[in-house]
Amino acid sequence: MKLNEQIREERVLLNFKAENRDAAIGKLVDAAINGFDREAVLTAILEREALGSTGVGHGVAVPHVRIDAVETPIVVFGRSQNPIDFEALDEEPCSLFFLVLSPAKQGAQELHLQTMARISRLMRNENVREALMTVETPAAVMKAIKANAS
Amino acid sequence: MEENLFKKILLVVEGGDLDGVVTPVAIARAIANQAKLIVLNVVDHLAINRMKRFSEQSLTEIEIELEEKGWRALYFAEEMAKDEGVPTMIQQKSGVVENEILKEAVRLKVDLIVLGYPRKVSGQAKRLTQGRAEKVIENSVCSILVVK
Repeated sequence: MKLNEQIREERVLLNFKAENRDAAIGKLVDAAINGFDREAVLTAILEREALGSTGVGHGVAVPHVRIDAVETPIVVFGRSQNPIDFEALDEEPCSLFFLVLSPAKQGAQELHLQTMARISRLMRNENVREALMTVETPAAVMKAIKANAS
Repeated sequence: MEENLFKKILLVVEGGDLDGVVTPVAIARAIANQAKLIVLNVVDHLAINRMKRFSEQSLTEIEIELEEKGWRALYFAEEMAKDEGVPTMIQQKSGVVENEILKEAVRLKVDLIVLGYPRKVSGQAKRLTQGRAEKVIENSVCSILVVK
């Protein structure tokens, strides 16, 4: 399955407002909510984040966690109105986010790693980052991702 | 006594832990020292050109494949380390592998570099990887742990 097939338009969040990392992750979790316990998911992500930033550089962060509550990976794309400090190794604050919730069950690790790898690889592309920083609709986000997805 | 001798450890995964032993050793050292772990993969541009000679894939396709393989290895190591409660961050760079390792070790002020010295690969790949390890050992300003 290609990356663009894992993201749905209703899980694209453009120009959201958040004061800090935890608030940003909260907004992304809200967009992912699909009948599961929001607080449990948020806590799991924040605990993981506390063990090391998921900022991958160039203003991009990919917070992620594997949980029992999902059967297939859920991917949310978000762009914040203001850059947010994610304590990334390159020290750049982040404006582009992909939240990934993957199944914790055995045998699901490969798909999780593949999803994470595809997102991170895609976001190393400066043209894609620029497009995602400027597009104005979820449909345009999907188009920019699809054009470069593997 | 090793306790807290190292505060920041750089683990080099080189597109995957070929023998499956390097990452657990780095994690064990991080736990013993209560250290942070930074996992690094370098996409080797020279390797892309070498691979092109034996492949029908385009340079871009090979680069995408290597980048994704690298990220996969990074997230695999990150998951292993965080499952053990080790503070971990990952980073992918591209360029000449040994140069990037040395550069990042200085920039991130690491105390220890952990890298593999693979036994299960042969021929040119083995010579290249071992050559890199030797260059890092020779030029590093911090301690190195080479895992076989």
